[in-house]
Amino acid sequence: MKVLVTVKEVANVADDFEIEGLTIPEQFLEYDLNEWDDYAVEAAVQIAEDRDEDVEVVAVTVGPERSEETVRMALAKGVDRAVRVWDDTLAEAALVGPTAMARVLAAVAEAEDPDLVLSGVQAADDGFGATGVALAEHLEYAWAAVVNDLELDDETASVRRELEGGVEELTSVPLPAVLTIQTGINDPRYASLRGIRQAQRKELDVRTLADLGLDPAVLDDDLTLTGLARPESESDATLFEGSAADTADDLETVLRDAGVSAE
Amino acid sequence: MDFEAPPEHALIRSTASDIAEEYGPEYWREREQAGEFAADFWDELGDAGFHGLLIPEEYGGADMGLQEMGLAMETLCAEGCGMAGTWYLVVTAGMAAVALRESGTEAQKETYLPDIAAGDRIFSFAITEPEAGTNTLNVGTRADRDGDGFVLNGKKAWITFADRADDMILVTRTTPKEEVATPTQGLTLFLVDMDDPGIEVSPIEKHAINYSKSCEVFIEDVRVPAEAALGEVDEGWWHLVKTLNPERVGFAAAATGIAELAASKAVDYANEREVFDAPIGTHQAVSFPITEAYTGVETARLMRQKAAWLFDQGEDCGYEANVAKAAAVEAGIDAVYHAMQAFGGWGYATEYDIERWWREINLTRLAPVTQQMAYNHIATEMGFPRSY
Ligand SMILES: Cc1cc2nc3c(=O)[nH]c(=O)nc-3n(C[C@H](O)[C@H](O)[C@H](O)COP(=O)(O)OP(=O)(O)OC[C@H]3O[C@@H](n4cnc5c(N)ncnc54)[C@H](O)[C@@H]3O)c2cc1C
Repeated sequence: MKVLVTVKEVANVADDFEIEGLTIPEQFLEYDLNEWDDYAVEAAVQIAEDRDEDVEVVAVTVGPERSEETVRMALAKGVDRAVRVWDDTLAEAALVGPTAMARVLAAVAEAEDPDLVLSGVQAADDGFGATGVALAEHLEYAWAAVVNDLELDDETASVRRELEGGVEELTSVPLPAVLTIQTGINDPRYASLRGIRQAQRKELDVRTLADLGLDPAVLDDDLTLTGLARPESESDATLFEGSAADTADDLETVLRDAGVSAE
Repeated sequence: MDFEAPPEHALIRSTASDIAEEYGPEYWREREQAGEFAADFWDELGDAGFHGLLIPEEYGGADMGLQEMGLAMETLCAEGCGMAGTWYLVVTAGMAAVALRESGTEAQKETYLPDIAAGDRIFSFAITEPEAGTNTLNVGTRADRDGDGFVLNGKKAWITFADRADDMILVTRTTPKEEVATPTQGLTLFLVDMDDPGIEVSPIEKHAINYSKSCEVFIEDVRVPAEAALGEVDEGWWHLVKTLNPERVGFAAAATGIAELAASKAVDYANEREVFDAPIGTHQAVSFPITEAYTGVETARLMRQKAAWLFDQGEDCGYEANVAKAAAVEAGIDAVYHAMQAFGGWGYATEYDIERWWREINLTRLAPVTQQMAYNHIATEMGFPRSY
């Protein structure tokens, strides 16, 4: 059996940050393995540990060289080998939406021919929550989204899905399938030092779009990034300091400015 | 020159931080107050592979170097464990593992290293005696030949974990000082089973780090086979020395790690605490002393990395390890001192932890090598007349 896990390095934004055009400058960003993907990696490694047959777990990521750190983390946790896709076309793209990303991942999946693909429900940074399902569509695999429990036999994945309002659904999905994994499905391990050591020897293949037989046009998408803004905060609080007389004056000004008056 | 860290360093830091988050200041405050050994923390370090960090892979270890050990200890200390981050690793995973790796026979390695790596064996390392502290060569514990083996007699002091250790590496004299050309000759290390009825242990009440016991150990007519010798008989000093640099690197990492922890808490506090209508951190009388000490912490860290690098290359690193340790102790103690000052009276409250870190870091100027002895070594290298 082969399990493919999609992993993404996500950017966490500092409390105080600035926006420059369509990007947030590097100095405000810190990178980490996407939380949902951590659960997907754990689910995949547990499958490999629990099943009698040989299970190969392959991680795939689309990201720059820096993202190898998060891929190595997955390798250190027990993933067998990894593929990282990157080239100038990807580096220069302002936005790779879920459909385009799914096309890239699908090319890797087609080459790997896995029985099961696990992805996180969503990425913590752009939060589309659609990549896994779009990937299933491209591969024409069965799928289930927001999976918080998983049991596997040779032909089916029996899953529990989290729906709105605390409702859960039990479904059987025929393999091959794509499942998007919800946080809480398991208790992700940390990388042991022996695992970290072994990860140094594991294969980490770097491929370009051309290596995967993809044309740069694969990234063309109806989705474009047009602007980046901080959301207006809805509850701005103003604190008046000083004597009662001063703060009463301050309040009067605010009320007048807001159009409240005695007349 | 290359300051680029290998990729696994970020992973080690991440795993150590995860563990330190789980075993944070509150956990250690409770262990310290209860005077309890942190067995769950010890086991966690085993599961995560820290006890086997320096052990070759064929014996179940991660086959990493002292550089990685320094990083692991410093991160554990800095991210919430305080001294415990070094304390629970330095004797067994640091000194005993290095002694066995470097000096052990194949049979000794097979017996001890896999258990150490799994966290299933605790070691003590018994050097100090009432009459042999900074003057290690004055060791009076005797090992007398007796048929195929040896009989051990003597008294050790301050032996950490002796109350619960499975095994002890015991520094003995096999040939009296008077009969050897130089006092570095005639010493022998032995692997001793702590269950031997001839061993008695009595904890010494101490100032801090009370989540462990350091003990007097009385050794009376303990019979060991010749195979219990670790390294060649009478050549023990050279086998001992191999473990002392890792120990110094461990304590250098403790000093910078505790300093980092205390300084980061002080920075948070200095941003939040407002006195006279401004955060206290706006006053340079509060921020500068911590900052000044912190620059020393940063430089000491670099020196530790150099010492560890030399050690991992198989090169001599005694001088560098002493400089790293002395610098880390000086800067680290200074940083915690001023971090405590930033907390005002609350620095004296146990619930703020600073007072515990203050008590903990003060050990580093007294042991394993006193600050004066470290300076003695450095001064001699500089060309001053030898004073010991
Ligand atoms: C909590 C704790 C845990 C310990 N754990 C262990 C352990 O697990 N195993 C172990 O073997 N030991 C252990 N030790 C012992 C420690 O290594 C010794 O206490 C240390 O080496 C100092 O020895 P001493 O106390 O005999 O000091 P002394 O040798 O009596 O020195 C007293 C003072 O004189 C100074 N001095 C002596 N000679 C000179 C000189 N020539 N020039 C300048 N100054 C000098 C010293 O620096 C020191 O300040 C531990 C100690 C403590 C406190």
